[in-house]
Amino acid sequence: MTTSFTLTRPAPLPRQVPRRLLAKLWHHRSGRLGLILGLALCLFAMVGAVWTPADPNQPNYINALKPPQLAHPFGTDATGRDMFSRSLDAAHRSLGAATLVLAAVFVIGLLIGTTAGLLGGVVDTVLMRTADIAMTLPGLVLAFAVLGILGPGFLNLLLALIIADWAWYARLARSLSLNARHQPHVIAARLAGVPNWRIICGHILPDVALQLGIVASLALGGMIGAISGFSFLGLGVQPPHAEWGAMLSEARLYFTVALWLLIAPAGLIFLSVLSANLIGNALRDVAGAKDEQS
Amino acid sequence: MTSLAKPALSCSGLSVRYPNGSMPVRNVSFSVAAGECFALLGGSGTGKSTIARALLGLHGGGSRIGGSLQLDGVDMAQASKADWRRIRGHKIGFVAQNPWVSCDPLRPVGDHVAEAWRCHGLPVRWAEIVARLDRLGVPEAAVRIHAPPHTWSGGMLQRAAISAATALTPPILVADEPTSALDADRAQSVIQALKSAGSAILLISHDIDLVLRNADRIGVLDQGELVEVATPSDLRSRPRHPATKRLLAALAPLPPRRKATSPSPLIRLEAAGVSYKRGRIQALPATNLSIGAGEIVGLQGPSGSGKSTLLRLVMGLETPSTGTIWRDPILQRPGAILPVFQGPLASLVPHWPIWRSISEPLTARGQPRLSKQQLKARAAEAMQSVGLELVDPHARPAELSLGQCQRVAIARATITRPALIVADEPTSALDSPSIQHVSTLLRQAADHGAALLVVSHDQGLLARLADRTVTLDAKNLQATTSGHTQD
Repeated sequence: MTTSFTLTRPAPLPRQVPRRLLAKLWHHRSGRLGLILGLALCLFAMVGAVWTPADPNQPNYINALKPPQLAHPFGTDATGRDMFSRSLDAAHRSLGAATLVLAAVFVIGLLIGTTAGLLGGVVDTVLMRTADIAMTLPGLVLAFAVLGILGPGFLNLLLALIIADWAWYARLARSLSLNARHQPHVIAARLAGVPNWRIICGHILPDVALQLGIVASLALGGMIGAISGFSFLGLGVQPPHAEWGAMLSEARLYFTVALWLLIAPAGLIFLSVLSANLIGNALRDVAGAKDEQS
Repeated sequence: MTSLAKPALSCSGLSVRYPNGSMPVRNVSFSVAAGECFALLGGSGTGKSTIARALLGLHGGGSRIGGSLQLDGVDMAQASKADWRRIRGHKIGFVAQNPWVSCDPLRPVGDHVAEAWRCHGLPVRWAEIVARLDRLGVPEAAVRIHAPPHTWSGGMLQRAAISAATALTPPILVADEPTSALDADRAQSVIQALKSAGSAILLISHDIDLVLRNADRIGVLDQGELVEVATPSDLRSRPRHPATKRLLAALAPLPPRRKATSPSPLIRLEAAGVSYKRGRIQALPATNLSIGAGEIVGLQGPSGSGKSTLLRLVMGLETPSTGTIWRDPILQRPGAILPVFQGPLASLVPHWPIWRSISEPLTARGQPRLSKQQLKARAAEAMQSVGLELVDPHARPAELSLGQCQRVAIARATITRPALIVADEPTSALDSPSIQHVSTLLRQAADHGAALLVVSHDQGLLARLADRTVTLDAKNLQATTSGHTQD
């Protein structure tokens, strides 16, 4: 087919713009900062899982409450344990747990929410009423109840947080998938006769997952805080194992005489939350680029 | 027209520089005489709205204004924010694009109009507000001013905005696309109301048809520069600048129809109507409509008359609650009806390369299985047919202009040679040159054998494109057909 009329031929773009999501994030100023910070923290956690300069759990009462020095960059705690080794050792627990819980509620929410949204009818009603019941109880209370039944412990804590949070993501995923169903590009694909599974995998799931992912990434900070909070109350990681929140909890008894005990865990929590928020914001910027006119 | 009296507004060498160093407006000089309607015309991104904001002192904090800007004889180029606050309303009024957005939904409309006096510390005289609204053609103004904006129609609300903008009888009124949120039949009456308000008008628009009909003089903007100033008749008969010619191309007639319409019907609606909630909400009154193979049918009607519902019926996304729809067997196969939507960006998957969107109908049921390379080749072919062969097929929709995105959508809608293409306001988001491209491409698709159902509020477009136009009328609950022959 040839054109029988003149159309303005747009010039090729002068510069290659990033198209993949990760590349877009890298080109976003705060996104890059968040990614670098996040990678550094991951590396920190991976190193801590296999190696620490000193035994993180071995008390040494002679060395108790030493301020930061060359041998102990973050000082030592009340039982003389090296705070640097403890923070390093705790990283994979604190960070890993938060990402694990979020990944779990993300997947559960995505599957349940899109199923309810796309199937509708009885399935929708049953799934959403279940979610409503889960949502009527405040998240923390629900988590306490689960921990009360299962007993304190790290894995139980993760389970409790998942049970407390999945319903919010399922609700959100449902409304996002309902919305996605009426997008013009989905209608165009339906009219063209594109098979349903292709529409779901190609149009709806990526759309819903991206928006749900933005919400989840912004929630990472809160999740680290929640896990730290439970550990602080003694319901999460059990002594002598280190966890950032639990370390803060131990430090509060001594902070008038040994302020340095707060530096490492508080600083690391701060950096993790910062990294997650930077990435979340950048993700929203680069993915939500719907600058439709009018 | 140009009198010896001092102009209501004059600017010479006006330029705007953004903090990042770019200059969206360069060296623009024009003046508007008292009582005159001067129009600034240009496609999207030519600096129209930037000029409007600069004239109102609403340019952002970091941007700098160069040149001189005289309002009613007073130089305002270096005016402070406090100066501008005194001037706005008194010396210059502003009517914004979308009346719904410019009103607080929780406050009665009268309150918004009264604000024009109140913000300058003047006493509010309600009787005068009612009288002014009456004069502008708002029925039952005394009652309506106590009602919130959502109970007003767009046209009436825009009149209220005009009455607020002219409350203190400023010598000049800036109207930035004042009718783009309105139906075509209401647009003209709003422009009349604007002119009757008594101030000189700076009308900013991309709608060349509207501007030619209403302006006394027209300035054409291209890439931030004023390239041509002429009266409507001169502009129409002797356009000098290429940008003007491009804009005028939107009014040029399309090439004559190659194919005579065959009478065999493709789809026939017989008293088909749609209602929701057991008949309490009537989305579409019983309607008769028949579309023949290869025919271009235009569909118009005010908002709420059921245009979108009718389209959904034709597309098979909805079933009629009353009446019947007969379809030719050819329409039963998937992909026989393909759509073109209003918002070009929303109709493409944002993270897909455009070749994938274009070739998607080829992956449907019943289509022969093609490899990725074959799909790309077919997409490239389709892109060539819509004049996009220089665009990278791996580009994402956000990298393209809206007009180009709409051409991508047309490429997708024609790639499987459907029997019927349904276009819902395909040009309403586009500027003049893109409108011409899109209508030419739609005509081309019809010449290749597809029937076309086009919904638009742009009567000029329908007149040029369609073989016949059907009008949906909300009041009479009747679809009337006005056949008109195309040369």
